Amino acid sequence: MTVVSEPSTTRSSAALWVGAFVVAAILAGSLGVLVAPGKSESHIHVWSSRHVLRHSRVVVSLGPPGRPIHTIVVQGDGGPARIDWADGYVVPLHPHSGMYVGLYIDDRLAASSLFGGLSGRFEGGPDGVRWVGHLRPGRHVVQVRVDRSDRGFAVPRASVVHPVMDLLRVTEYE
Amino acid sequence: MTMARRLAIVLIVAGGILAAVTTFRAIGHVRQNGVSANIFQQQRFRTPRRIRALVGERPLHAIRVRTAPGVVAVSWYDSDFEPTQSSKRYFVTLYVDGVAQAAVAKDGKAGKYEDGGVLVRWDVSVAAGVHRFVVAVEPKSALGPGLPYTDPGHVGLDSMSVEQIKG
Repeated sequence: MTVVSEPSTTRSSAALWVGAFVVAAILAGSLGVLVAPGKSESHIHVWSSRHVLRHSRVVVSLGPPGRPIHTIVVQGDGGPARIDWADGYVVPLHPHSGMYVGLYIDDRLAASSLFGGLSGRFEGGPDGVRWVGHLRPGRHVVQVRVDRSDRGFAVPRASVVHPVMDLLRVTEYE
Repeated sequence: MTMARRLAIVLIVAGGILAAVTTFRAIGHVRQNGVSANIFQQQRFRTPRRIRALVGERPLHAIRVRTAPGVVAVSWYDSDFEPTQSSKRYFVTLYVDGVAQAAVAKDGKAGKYEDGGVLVRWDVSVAAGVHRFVVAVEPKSALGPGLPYTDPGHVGLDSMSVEQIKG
């Protein structure tokens, strides 16, 4: 029993150490203790696409893949990045409705934002999506889609008298 | 303790931590001239997260960062703030080194269908050194707000960033 158990104990100790190391590494990474190597200076790249709408854009979408409303193509060097989409006046058009806006990177859903409407009257407001993460070097297609909007949302509600903004921006920290 | 049991414990712990890490990730960190210039933290949700009283005083986010003297831009974003009680007001407060710096409020009149994304931005002057940036929501209640609410097939996000914009 003893002879047999010795190698087992050694293997289990090794497994424990490996497991403990993996656990510690994961914990450290999740807590931000492991820091990327420092750079002497940083560069910021910004791609910005701006739409000013002078007429309401009413979108009805019952589920993914939704209707694209804003697209930008970036050619990055890779690194930490932030993507922001902002719309000036999202308006629910019917009671008890909700709208999911999806942010897609190279056709993959990265983030969703939800906007609700109880009465469908005087519940409009600005809306947006923010995603942070690492972008790989190379070309990326970033797209905003209305994935679900029940019986309809104005994205945005706009008029010639009151034009409304719709912005999509990619910021890459080299 | 047998080897099998020890391995099982290690695997269970590692699995739990892996599950936690897939939800909470510190994903961006850029350093500039020896100090942290930009830090991003992001949590990802496939199901709603309710901020209940049972959670206690645990903040939504907490970041410790070494800064140069100057101005730091702090922002917090959640893909959906979902009021769950009628006639209720919630406050999201940014703390720097334990001192409340700025707050935003979200009202709920009906407590349903009042969802919307929230973005908080604030600039604060800091001295050189290590600072703790915290975002917390109040009040917590049994019917806590969704932060974020999300449905299957969608990706709810909650992120915080700290950026040195003037040093």
